[in-house]
Amino acid sequence: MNDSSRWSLDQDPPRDDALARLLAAADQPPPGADVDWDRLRAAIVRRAHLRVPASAPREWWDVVVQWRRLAAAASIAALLAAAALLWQADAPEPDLALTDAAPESAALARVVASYPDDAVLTSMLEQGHADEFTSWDPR
Amino acid sequence: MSPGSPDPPVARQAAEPPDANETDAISRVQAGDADAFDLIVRRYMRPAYAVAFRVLGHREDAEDVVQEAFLAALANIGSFDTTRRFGPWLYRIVLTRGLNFRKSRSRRAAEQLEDGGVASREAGPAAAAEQAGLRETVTTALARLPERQRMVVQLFDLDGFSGAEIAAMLGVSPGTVRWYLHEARQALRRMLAHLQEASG
Repeated sequence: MNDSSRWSLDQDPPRDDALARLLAAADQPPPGADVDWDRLRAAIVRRAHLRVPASAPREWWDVVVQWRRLAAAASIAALLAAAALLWQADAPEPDLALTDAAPESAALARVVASYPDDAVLTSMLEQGHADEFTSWDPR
Repeated sequence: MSPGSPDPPVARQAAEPPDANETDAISRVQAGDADAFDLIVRRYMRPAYAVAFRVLGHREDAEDVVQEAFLAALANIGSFDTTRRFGPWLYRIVLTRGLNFRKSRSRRAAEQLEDGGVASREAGPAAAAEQAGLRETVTTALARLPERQRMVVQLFDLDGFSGAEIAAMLGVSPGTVRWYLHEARQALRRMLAHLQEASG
């Protein structure tokens, strides 16, 4: 065994091989000799996969992947909303409807004027039945 | 008496300063990449097991403690400084968990001691008897040491941990560890002197 006087507070002593051999004799089988290291490693890694901190920062593409479904739903909703707005913008406004109805009333007036003796037409105009065809106000 | 050469120290495999691979792996684990933890486990599971076994003296208990220690390290990996070495940090967790485990368990360590004669059974009867006698003598000598001295001399001379690593595990200064080592060696040399003379 090594000289016992070689001891220092500041640096590790050399390994005592003779003592190590004796200690190893009491260490049979050596610790770990009967350990299935692959199984132990697999068990640790498998459990580690279940416990990775969820709050850990990730790359931007990981965030994109996580939010892709919500982003797709939001995109569809935005498209539907835009289509609805466009449809409403194309729909005729009430004033325009009156304007569109005017030619019909004008045509009716022309027909009445062409047949001044037609009592039915005349009565329709007098009784305001023309409003049943159009709400156009000739003002 | 002809005790064989001691096995290569397990701690030497992971005693080097952290290399780029290790730093990168830890950074990836901190970023949430569980796959990167595999490299850390491969590198440190054997020395971590050695520490756990020195505390517990039982294979299955040591494996359980190693698993729990790795998972505890993972749970706290966000606070780990990657400029430091991972090993001492992990070994400290292993030692602490091992001591706690030992407090709460039953008498399984004694069963392990009675179950450890594989090498002796494989040798011839005379050699086996000699081996068993040697093992009992050394085991008895180790048992007479204060626990810290026993752990220090085994971790240093058998498992190859440095004084600084053992100090980090035990939460004492490296100088204190060297003193424990010195005292343990002196005591063992006295108790095992007859074995040394017989072999010399």
